[in-house]
Amino acid sequence: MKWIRKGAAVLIAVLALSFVTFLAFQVLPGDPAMMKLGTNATPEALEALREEMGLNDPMIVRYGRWLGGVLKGDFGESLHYKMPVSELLWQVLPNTLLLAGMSILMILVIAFPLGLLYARFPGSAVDRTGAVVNQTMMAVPAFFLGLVISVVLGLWLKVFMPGAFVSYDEGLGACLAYLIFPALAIAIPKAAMTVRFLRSALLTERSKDYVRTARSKGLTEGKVLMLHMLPNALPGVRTFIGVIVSEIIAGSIVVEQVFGVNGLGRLLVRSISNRDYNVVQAIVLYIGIVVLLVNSSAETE
Amino acid sequence: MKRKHSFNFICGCALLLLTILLIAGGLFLSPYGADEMDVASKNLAPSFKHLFGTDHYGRDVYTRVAHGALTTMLIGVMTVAIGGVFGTLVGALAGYIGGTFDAVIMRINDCLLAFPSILLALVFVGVLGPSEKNVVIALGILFVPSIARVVRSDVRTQLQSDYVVNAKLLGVSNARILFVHILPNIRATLLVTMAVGFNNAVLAESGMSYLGLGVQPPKASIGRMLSEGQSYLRSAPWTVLFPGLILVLAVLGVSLLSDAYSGNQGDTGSPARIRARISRKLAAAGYGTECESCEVAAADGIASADADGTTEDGNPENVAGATKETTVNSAEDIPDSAILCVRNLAVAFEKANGSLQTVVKDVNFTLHAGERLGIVGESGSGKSMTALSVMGLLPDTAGVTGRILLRTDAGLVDVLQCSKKELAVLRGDAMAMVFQEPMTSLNPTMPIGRQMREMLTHNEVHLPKEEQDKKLADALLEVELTETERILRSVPKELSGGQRQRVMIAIAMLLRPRLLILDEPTTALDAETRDGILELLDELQKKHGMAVLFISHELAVVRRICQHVLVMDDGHIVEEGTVREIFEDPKAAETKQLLRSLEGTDFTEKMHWAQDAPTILSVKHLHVYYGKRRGRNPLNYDNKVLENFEMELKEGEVLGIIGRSGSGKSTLARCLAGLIPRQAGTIETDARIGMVFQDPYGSLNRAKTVQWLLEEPLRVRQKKERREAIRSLRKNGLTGEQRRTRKNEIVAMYRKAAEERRHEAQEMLTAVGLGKEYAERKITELSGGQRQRVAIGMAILGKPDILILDEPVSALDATVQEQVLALLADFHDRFNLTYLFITHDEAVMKRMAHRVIYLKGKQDLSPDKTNKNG
Repeated sequence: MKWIRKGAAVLIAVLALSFVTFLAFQVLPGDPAMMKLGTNATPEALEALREEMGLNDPMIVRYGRWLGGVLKGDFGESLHYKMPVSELLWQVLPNTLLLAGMSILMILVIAFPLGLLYARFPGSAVDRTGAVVNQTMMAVPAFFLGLVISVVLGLWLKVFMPGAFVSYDEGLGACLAYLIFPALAIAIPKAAMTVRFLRSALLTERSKDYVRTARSKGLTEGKVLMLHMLPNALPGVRTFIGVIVSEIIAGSIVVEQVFGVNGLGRLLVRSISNRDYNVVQAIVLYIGIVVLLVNSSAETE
Repeated sequence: MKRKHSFNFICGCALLLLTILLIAGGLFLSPYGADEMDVASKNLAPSFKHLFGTDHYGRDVYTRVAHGALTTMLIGVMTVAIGGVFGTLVGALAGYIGGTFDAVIMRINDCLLAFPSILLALVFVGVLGPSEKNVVIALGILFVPSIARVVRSDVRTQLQSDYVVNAKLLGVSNARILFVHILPNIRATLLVTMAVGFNNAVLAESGMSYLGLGVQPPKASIGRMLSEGQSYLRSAPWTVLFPGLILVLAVLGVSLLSDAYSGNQGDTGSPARIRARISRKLAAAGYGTECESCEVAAADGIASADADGTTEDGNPENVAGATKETTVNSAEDIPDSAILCVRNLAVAFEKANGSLQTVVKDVNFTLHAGERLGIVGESGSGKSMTALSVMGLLPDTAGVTGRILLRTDAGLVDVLQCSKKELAVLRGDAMAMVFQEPMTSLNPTMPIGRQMREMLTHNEVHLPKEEQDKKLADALLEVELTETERILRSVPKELSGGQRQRVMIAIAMLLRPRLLILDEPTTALDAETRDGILELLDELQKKHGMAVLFISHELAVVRRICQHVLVMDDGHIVEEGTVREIFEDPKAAETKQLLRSLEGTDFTEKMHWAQDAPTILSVKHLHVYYGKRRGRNPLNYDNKVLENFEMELKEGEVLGIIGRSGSGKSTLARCLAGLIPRQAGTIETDARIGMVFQDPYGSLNRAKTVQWLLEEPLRVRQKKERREAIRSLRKNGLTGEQRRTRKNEIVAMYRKAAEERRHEAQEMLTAVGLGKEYAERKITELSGGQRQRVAIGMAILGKPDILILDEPVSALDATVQEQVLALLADFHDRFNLTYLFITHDEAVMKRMAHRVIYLKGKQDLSPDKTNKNG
């Protein structure tokens, strides 16, 4: 029952989102018909094309038609690339998903051991050094970190070749090997934030009465941390990571540019510059839905 | 705030200062222009001539960094300004108004928040054209939802607190409550959110400029420089490095400062080292060393107590042990019957200025097998700290000296010398503890069964699972919990307070410890439940014969459970002896005071009223329900708090309302004050109603001073008077002359107002027994009793006829209770008040109320004077 209600709420939110996205691109200046035919087209030809494209129908009809298309995976045509938007998306989406997935994995792998370690020995030398490193890492913008990684690991140590990105369909292994570096650039600042959140969530639990009870039962400090404090701190951390995921998507827009990864972010930036709004619309809708789903599944009661 | 600046604060300031100096240097001191090209000197490495080197056009990187950073910072500041102003407004209104308005606003807000802001900003700027102005507008608007959300949730939390209720009761207007009372309390969160917002804006702007969708060339901007420099990473990495670093510097500075502001610092050193340091100081101050005279005194006390032979179930072993005991100088002299020997125990915390606050001073006592020893004293007397030191559970920031010898299977062990591992071994089987608050003392998310089983699995008890299950079920049956299956599966919130405390006792008793420490085990429970728990403890002790250390501030409870009593005050043991000695022949002044406050003065005679006084409040057929309505019947609710309640209040009377927690006492109070709606019934009164709440910390605005708080009711009244005066000026056909006099009167009112308020507030301050020196203090700087005095003063300045006192002394110590009750009794006649006195404490009720109504909870009541045990 709870799940049904939650599912319905998400569905309504997705619908609202699609409507807002549709609406936002309707009020844009510029006439799609004119874009297609060029500025020196005759008014009659323009009018005919408008009629043909259904631009003269009431908005709700156009929304319905657009939504119907979207449900079938049809986002219209890219005016710049002269090909269906969905095809364009399919070319780049897996790259972005791989990048995001790898970043999340790295965040978890870095953040949990460190957060637990700092919370186990709060105020110790390890904790204090960690806090300084953490603070600094949080202040580094992902794309600047990407540039630094490119210089140090790429140009100086020659671990990889910046810019020589291999798309997933040309070689999955090579693609993954390359994505390690942009993923690192995205993951490090976010991992620092997660470490900090986890540590303070654990320390909040540490001062609660039930922790004292657990100690009074003869549990060792490590057991108290893992069996009592961590499970109680986890719901908050889960919500936090949900927020982080949506920030990763935002971060990847810029980082993809730094590393020349042919992904969603790059396509978005290019399409914005090209005023290729069908593509932009599709990407905004897609990211919106992903963020919505992630957030609602990470949300605690 | 006059405190030592934190590490974060100093570093944050230093970094920001450095950033500003760097920017200023580049703007004013640099010999180059930001766009000045010099192709001859392109891509030069950093040198004295070009501090940060030059780029591919031969432009000086340092100068460009300074200009770019300035642009970026200004964009950040403007974004925060836009987002801060609109976000605060939207959030505050949504939070305060609530209902549909709130729901709609917040739904839109959530939708906006769901998108990463840089994505929306990109689209926005892409559509409107990339420019600085559009970046600021886009980021500013996108910052509104996150501020609004924080402000709204804070406002909603604040709305729940008693101080807002209090302000409403005093007639403060909505706008004033929101902007004058609530907003100062959420300033801290607001500032921190704005700092985060600034950083996000700076990062977003530089990201957008990097993508070519932000600040446009030729204007220098950090993001732009990074993207231009990327092509020359190999030949001129400095064109990327320095712009990036200044960004890191600024962002780090701001985040450190905001941390320092929110008090989020962890730079106090490791707990073990703090403890060692404080312990050393404590030893240096002369604590924890052997003290011949007090040893003798301690031994004497216990010896004479046992020789008396008056204890209820005097353990022969116990008496034998005690008579043998003469002087205790070292571990070797400790009798075999002793389970616990505390010698020269001292516990201290460090104050902010580095001096020690010693909370336990030279405490000595011996607890024998099967003995029940009580430690009584007011809160802050050091009794709980004594108990926690025995378990090795003192807070991390406490230092401790002395010896705590515990009898284990392996002989005597000094708990204070044990490592954390060794302590973990002792806890659970050698000694166990039951804590005051059973709700928070149990893990809220773990099923009871697992929490009990941990006692077995972490204490080297190797049993097959079935036997463990059996043992757990038996343990529950022993504490008279019969639905073992259900309870083992439940989490704490599914049990009642009494059940939870029984579970705590079952856990503690599971391994049959030699020593059971009970720290105020019944304080959080109501009278009936308390009696049950005490009976149970009595039985369990008789059955298993463990030694019991019972900590309580309630003398009555100690009298029922213990054989011997230690009375503590200000960290010292001031008196010790058998229960009879302490209660019938107290020697120390502190003990006498405790006993006096137990008996208490009867104030009912002092507060005069006439039986035939007119009725000033009459309640008929009152129904108040919470929760959801079932079906169409307006009176069919899930949770019926008050049903068909009737009462009459006569002028000058003190009417007591008593009932256990959950019986609807507070609901009744709030309903009478008009703070919550009623489903049916009538409340007839012309009287002004004032209210004093249980927790003065919550009912007084922490952001304000005592003086301000006391003036607030007067301010409200003056405002109202002035409004009326001005209104009367507008209507009626007044002559010019009259109009002029009226105007002058109003001007005079304005002039006099401040002086009048100050005067009245100071008078009240003296009346409630606080000196003038308290006027400028904040609530956080007062003790609980002082806070309650201010709360009473504030309520009375609202000029009420009826004062509803909702558990006004329940959060206070016995002695302070006495003083506050005396103050209330004094004010009753002085200000011609009628009291509605609500409490769960029958002893207090008997001393205050002329007439008592007993609330049974969720049911009808029977108006009668209750004379159960005191």
